Amino acid sequence: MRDRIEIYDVLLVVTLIGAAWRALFGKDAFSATVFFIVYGLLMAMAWVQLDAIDVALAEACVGAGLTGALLIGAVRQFERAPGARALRRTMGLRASIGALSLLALAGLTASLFEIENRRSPVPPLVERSLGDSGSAHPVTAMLLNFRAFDTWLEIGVLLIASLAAISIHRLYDPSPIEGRASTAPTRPRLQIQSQTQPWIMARTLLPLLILVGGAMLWFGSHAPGGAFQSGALIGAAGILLQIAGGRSALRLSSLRTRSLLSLGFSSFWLMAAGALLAGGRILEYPPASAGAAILALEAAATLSIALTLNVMYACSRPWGPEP
Amino acid sequence: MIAELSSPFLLYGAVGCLLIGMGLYSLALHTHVYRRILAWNALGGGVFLFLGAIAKRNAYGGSSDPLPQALVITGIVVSVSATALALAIARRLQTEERGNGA
Repeated sequence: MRDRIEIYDVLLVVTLIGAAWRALFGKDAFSATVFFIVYGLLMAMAWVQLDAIDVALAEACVGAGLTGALLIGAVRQFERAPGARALRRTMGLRASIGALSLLALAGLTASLFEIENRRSPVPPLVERSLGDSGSAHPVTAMLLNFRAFDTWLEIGVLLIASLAAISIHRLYDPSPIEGRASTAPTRPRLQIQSQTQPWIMARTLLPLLILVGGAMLWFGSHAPGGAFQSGALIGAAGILLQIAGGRSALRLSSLRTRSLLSLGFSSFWLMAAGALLAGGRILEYPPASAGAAILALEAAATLSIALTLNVMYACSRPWGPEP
Repeated sequence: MIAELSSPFLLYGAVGCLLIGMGLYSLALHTHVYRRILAWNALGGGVFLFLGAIAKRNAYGGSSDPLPQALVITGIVVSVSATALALAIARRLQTEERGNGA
């Protein structure tokens, strides 16, 4: 563990700021998107420098990878829109926005010096209670045991966001209304265009992604990894399949999709209710079975997260026939 | 004091602050909703880096503070879902505007 910065750190943050600059102030929407993905990947490298491997994995899979897939899928619809290059014109307005942003920047930087010498009491506490948590890895113990309530509600946010995306998508889906009511699929469920590049990529990467995702879920109990990173990898496998299939392979509103979407949230709910009925406090697992409880919750959350990301990707694709 | 100034906490914390400032400026400068979604995400990255610097500062026994790390992992996943929802709404907004223009 290092306590001094090295030249590598300086080069990394300079590149990071440069990529952010192009993503934020570049003229062209498409190149801004590409630089945003670069920014996300550089950010993952910064997390490695901060000794936060779990966050680096999450940032690389979710922050850069899946956000990138969503944005690249969406940018084509926006880049030719009138106003896609518009900036606020008035110099006075620009100057005052700049001044306010600088003020925020100065205030935040000053707060860094303010908090520099305050130590948090949490890490020693975590180290002492790690033995009872059911996980040998502090971040997993934090996410699934000490602060499991936060994780539960976060999975709730994912559920709400995916249901909202489905609703918006369905409202504007131009496929015929009668098709929605009947059980017969109105469109081919999966049209693999064989021998295309996405198909070859999907064929090669799909087993690997699922294998690495499963391994990451398992390793999460004692090493960096866990439900979010694993869910993102398995979700990426599904998205590759969607790209190779040309069309959404998901029936967004089927009972199966909806129940799998809510699996993570309802598992937490059952675990919380079980702990309450057993006479404990909410989401308080007995130390003897905490490891099993964490693994079960993580497995359920992984499936839900993977499907949520797929649903979101499917909802971000253009309507109508693919070009 | 010189040793303090060369700590990773200050470097990455200051970069986080700079990204927040740049994100705010870009968010207010652009008028198109897609560029605002990008700006919002870059701003979020700055906030996460700020938290990461604090985690590094609170490092104990060779590993960074797990509490900010857990917060950031949660935040990254929430921000991707918020981005997906924002894109869906933006797309609908664009469809509405086109419909009115035709």
